[in-house]
Amino acid sequence: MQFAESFRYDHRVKTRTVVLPALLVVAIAAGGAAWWWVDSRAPAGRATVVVTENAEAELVAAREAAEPGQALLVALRLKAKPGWHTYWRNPGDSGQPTTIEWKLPAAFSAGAIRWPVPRRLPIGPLANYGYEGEVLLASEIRVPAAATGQVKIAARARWLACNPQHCIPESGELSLALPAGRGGPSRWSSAFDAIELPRPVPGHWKLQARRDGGRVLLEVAGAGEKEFIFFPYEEGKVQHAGPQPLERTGPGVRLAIPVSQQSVGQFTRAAGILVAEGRRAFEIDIPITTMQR
Amino acid sequence: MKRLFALILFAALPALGATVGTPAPDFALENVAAGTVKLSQHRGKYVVLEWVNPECPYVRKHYGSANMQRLQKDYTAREVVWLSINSTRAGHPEHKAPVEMAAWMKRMNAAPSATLLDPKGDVGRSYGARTTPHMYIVDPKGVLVYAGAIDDKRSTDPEDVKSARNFVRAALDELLAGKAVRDASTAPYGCSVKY
Repeated sequence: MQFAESFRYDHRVKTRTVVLPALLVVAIAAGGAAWWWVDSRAPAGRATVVVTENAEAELVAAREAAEPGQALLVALRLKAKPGWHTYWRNPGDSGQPTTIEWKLPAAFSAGAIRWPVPRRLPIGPLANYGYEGEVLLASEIRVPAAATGQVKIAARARWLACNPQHCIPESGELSLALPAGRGGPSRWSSAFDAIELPRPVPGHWKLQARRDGGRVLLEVAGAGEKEFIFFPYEEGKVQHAGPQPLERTGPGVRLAIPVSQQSVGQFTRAAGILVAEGRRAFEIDIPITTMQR
Repeated sequence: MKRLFALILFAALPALGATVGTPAPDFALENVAAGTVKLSQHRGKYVVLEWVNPECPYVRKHYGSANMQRLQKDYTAREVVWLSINSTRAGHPEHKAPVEMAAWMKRMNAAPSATLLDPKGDVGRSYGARTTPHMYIVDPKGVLVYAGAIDDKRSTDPEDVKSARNFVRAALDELLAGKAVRDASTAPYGCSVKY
């Protein structure tokens, strides 16, 4: 191709292997816990770290071993270099959500990505929803009851890294090897605990949404929050960069969400997350009524 | 006075964008070849507006696979006017001077009716153009009849062009056959327009 010289796809991928010797030391010091001796033929907790032009990626597990019959949390640890970001499930006005294509041993299965709470990243008059710096995109891996020996969890991850100037598509072939058996928390477990995930709406809140011209008014009775931003799961519903003024009402608060001028499909449900101050986030999915006030 | 405040407030709001089914905002933009092109001078014909930025990997997908050029050739041959618009602001690292933009389009064997520059971003904002590519179709009466993506495969992989449903081709075929557009509003994908 004559224009190939101008393409910036040649993100030279370097990989390095990280062994976790500290764990082995702990295991030995603990006097040879049975699970470790059983699986000591193969090295434990071995992961490839893919380093691209704009990010670093690897698979990390919350525990040291894959316990048969249990679910293990495994995350894509994706760290964009300073000034760069990657994307949430709804990327906002532009961009692309990160994807993970799992390659698992027979009878293993993976759940969907548990998307951490994104940030609104303004770009001129537009906005993206995503993550600056490091993010852990965790999924639940179901380990079959019959799992034995060394388990290799692999994935092809694709992400778009952008800064306000440029966007570069990147990807990595990642793998993580760990023993089947019982194991304690890994050195990543505190990072898993720190993932900001949306939670269910508090029981004492009462939510209602109604269409009011170019806005959707979201009433949250029982809430006293000073700040809310609604992030919809779907594109083509709201103006991603638009201000969402919050008003106090008798029973709680009312958020005014500007509807997209280029709506895609019907905006009949407010489905997404409501992010309050302190990065607390709540998952909502309620019908939008067209009733007049 | 109140009215003035309202005007100032309105001007400070972010781009809202044109809506399908309403009149497409008119504009006059610099043609990289020479002169100025006005949208309204093409009244009576279908006009495709393509937001383009040669530095964007999504744009390169559609030019690298010749998908965009094929659309340009196929429909300008059928009396459709095709305007490619670059709204990258002057001073942005990805900004192209008229001669550079013209040279890139030539190197790509692109065949739009004209390539236009919008370095202040006013036209991009008036259409609510968010991505490159972001595609619009204006009907012979000047009404916006399509806004959205080029196709349904959000990726930078040129291979995906083969299996994608091309919304612009589908809409133009429907319009030229006198039918209504089935998917008149879709979610555009790509890099952000560099306002």
